[in-house]
Amino acid sequence: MASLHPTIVLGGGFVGLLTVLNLSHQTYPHPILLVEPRDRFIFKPLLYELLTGEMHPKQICPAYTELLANRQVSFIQDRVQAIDLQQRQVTLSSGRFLSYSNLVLALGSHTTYFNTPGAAAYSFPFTSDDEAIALRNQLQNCLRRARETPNLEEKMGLLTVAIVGAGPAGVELACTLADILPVWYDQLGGDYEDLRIVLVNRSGEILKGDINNRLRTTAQHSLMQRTIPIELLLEAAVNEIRTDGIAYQQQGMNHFLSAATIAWTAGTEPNSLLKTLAVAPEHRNRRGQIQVKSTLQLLDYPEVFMGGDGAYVAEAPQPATAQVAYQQGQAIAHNLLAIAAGRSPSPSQINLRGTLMKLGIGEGVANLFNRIELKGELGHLIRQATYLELLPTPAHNFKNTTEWFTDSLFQRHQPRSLNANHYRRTPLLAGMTAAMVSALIALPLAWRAAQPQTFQETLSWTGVPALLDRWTPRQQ
Amino acid sequence: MNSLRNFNISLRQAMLINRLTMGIFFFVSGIANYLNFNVKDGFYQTVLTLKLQLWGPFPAGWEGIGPLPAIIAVPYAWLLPGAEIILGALFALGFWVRWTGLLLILLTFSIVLAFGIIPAGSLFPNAAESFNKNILFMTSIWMCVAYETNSKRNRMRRTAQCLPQNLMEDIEEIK
Repeated sequence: MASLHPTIVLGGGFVGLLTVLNLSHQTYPHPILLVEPRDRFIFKPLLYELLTGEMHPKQICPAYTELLANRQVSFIQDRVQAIDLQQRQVTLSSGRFLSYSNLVLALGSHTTYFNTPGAAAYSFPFTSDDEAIALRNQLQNCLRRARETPNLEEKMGLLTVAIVGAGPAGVELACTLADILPVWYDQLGGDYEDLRIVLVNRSGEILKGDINNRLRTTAQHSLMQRTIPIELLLEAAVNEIRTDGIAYQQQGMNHFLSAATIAWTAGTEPNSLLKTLAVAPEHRNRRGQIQVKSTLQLLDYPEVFMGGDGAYVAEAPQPATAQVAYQQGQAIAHNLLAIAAGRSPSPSQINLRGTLMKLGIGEGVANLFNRIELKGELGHLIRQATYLELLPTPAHNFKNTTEWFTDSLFQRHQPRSLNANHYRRTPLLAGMTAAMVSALIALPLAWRAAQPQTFQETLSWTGVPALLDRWTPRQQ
Repeated sequence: MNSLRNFNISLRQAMLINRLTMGIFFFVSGIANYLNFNVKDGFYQTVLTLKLQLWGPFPAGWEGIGPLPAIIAVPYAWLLPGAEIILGALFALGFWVRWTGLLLILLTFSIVLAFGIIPAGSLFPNAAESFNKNILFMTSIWMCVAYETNSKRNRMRRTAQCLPQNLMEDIEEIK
């Protein structure tokens, strides 16, 4: 009876989506159901590009209907309310019950505030497109208010942005904001030197304990090199977030940092639904992740697979990055296909190819295979190209890669309301025209040098050869 | 006197003048090289016969390395003045300053290699160039490129180029 039930994938992040895409591509014999509360996939590593507008929202958040078009996958837009592993049943918020033959848990993670008072209410997390847009609106609103207020103290607060957490997300967000805010504020006629960005971190160093920690020196240098140098507030324990700033403790002393915008990138925790699963406490770690076998199956439920932020393999722990989730999705699909064909599932092979970070607008760093570090514009290009190639479907990534490349090449992104006195760019048409005119000046001169006699005879009626001869000694 | 004392020294204007001077110099130099291409001891003959001497004829009697083989020297001689004209014009007009500047530095470096750093072979020459002034051109161009790359205003200009015309419309569209 169980085989009549579908394979259900809970969560449409990298793991879930890559699982269903790989299954549908390989003609999986069972029905496939993808359950996800949102109607769009979010490509989280490129959320900074959504905040700044460097990339089109459709490129970063494609609709599931578009991604799953012409595939044997049913998409249910709903929230999971309960999972009964013993009964092999999932309950959705709509009240619908779904029975499964195989289950894939790819529920992802959400922001955690570590019970910091006021953090959930007054800070801005940065994990989804809605949150990125909310942060952007808040920042632009603060800049506008700062231009209007006559109160100097209020102005300073409005122009200060605090980012809590100096992990990769905090560092990337700080670098991005330090480049974009001066441009936005300058457009409003403000003095960009008044802006302040403070990166607040509990430990004494940035990127501590992260896979990106090899890039610490480069990241630190980059933080200082932005249009607005980023202030580091290290060994600062945040006690409370208020509407007007952060109360924190540093070296036993209480301090207050006035800031109208507080971004929270201090941590995430696995989906709270995982706490309700019938899994023994010894198979969970301190973060609340659930232990899985190397085949990504739950220890006591071999029909259930799990990947992404909520799972860990005790013998080979992996960082919570897009490239790991991407490969786990492929591995789960491979094992589901093996089970359907009557074969045994095989251990997942995760290959880390290095790390990538955005370090400002048009700047990044790529650490390839932990050996080669490429930074600046080259690092940015590698990061962008790598992430675009990770986009879920070949058609989608080809389309977006082409769009991004042509946008960059032809500088399609033009500022709409920039003051022409402030910014002067190299317009492609004007630049090419100048190059053509210069070439047109050079060509007859080269012709004269190569074939003086022919040049003389052909163009004598114009008077140009006589004019040039007057400037130079006679040709030999 | 008062206006002289309060004269505002603008880095931007200084760099603009520097860039214009360099760009126009290369533009005119390219034209002059084509005009004097075939004359005796002109540009073409110089490129084909010149030997590499970083420190002039030192030790005494040493004529230097080279000249360049014809397969390199001929295209180099024909293309260099054209490149000077095009890159010089683009540099002076402020188009792709970073890239045209870097190419001009490379081009100048090749000339420095050909003519030597101390062409006279001595720091106390008689009527001969003691120090190749093309090196100063390279540093001047480098300053223009660095200003273009590192000044905050220019950084903001480049950032603005990455921004969309219609960010708000894009977001409304997806919502």
